[in-house]
Amino acid sequence: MVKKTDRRKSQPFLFLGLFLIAWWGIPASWKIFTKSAFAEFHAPLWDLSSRTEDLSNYWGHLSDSKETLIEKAKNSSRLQAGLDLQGDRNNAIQEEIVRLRSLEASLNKLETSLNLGSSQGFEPIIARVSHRSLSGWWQKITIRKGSSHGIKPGLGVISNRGVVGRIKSVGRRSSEIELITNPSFRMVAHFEGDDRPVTFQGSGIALGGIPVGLALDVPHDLTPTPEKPHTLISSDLSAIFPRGVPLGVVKDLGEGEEGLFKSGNVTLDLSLNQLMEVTVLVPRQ
Amino acid sequence: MQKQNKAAFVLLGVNLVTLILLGSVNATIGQHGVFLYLPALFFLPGALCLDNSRGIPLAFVTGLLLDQQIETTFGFHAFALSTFHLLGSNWFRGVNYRKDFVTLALQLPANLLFFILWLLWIKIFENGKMEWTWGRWGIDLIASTLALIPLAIWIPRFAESLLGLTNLFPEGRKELS
Repeated sequence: MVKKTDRRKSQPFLFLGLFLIAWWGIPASWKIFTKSAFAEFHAPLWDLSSRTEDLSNYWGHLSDSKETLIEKAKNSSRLQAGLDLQGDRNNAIQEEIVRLRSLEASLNKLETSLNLGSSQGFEPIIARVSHRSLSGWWQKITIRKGSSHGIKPGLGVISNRGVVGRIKSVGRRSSEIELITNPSFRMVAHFEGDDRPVTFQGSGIALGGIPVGLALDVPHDLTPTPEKPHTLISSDLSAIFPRGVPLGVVKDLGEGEEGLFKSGNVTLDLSLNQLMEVTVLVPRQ
Repeated sequence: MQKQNKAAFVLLGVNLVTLILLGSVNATIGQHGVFLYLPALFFLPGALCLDNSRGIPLAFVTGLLLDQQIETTFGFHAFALSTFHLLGSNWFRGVNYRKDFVTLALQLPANLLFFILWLLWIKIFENGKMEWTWGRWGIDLIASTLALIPLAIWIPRFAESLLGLTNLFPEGRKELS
């Protein structure tokens, strides 16, 4: 009798074990498909919550107090004065643009005559962040644009503060970005003013929300100090970023594992955790 | 039979709402280097109110949703939550589950076990692709345990009151007092 009850109790565990073995055998493609279906299910919910947040901000500003409105009106007048100044500068810049366009045309002519490919350009797609998932083991953000806006997996993502990450997966109207803090994120980089390539690797978000990375394969003659840190910038060798987009700063370098190169921590911009808007870079064909 | 099916959908809704709220909270506090990892919240309502044939699929689907949301190996939480559902439902049959501390006594160690299992999984199977530093692990564990105490009491009550509202509370079981 006791044995029969025990057997009945352990039966579900046995079935679960068998299902686990079957799950192991399921092709990875099926799992990826299921996972993306779950992501598509989640996306509208994050979209809705992010839009609700935007709307509540808007309503919050509508009910601003009299003092706040006066302060805002003052700011607006200051901005208007600045705008007038910018208008004057705009005329000078227009003339400069005409000059640069003629230079660009002659440069293109020269490139064609010498059979050189023109330097790679990017089309920017600006997207709003709908959700952030910043766990200790993996950091990703979800944006409100997807394949219907021309976004594809693998594209580079930047913000006004520097490199953000790359597109990991794309849904119809949303995409997930793997942040540069993930250990699986590696890219070629340069130190500002130095042409030699080094490797950048993500290293998570430390206590207090400080995003960090690692600079690897750094030549021995580079010696940044806390007083004179070196800025790490993106390289056009990576193909998904233009050259010169900031990654972070390196304040100190130590001996690498093999002793041939140096390595050190890269302090990334704090705003990486609080991004509201990013730019996806689509390479021009 | 139909009542139990409907109850499973209501509990899936409860888990989904909890997941979304938790995701939104994490999106904010994650900026400060803290993450609430609370998978133990999701197996208890099913273990209390559903039989295995409905409770396991509920735990499995919730686990897959959690895996997608917090970017863990797809299937890890699905199987872990299903196992905890089985353990939980067996355990609750032998105790007076109506007391809050009884549900807490299961969920707190379960969440600690999730922390240990997931850390081991990262170190063994995801080495180089994911990293959970000891400092972050400790902070996340403390913050999650503190957050789990009120949530572990509230969620089963929330689930039961929803089932009560929809007249789907299983017969022969009393609600949490």
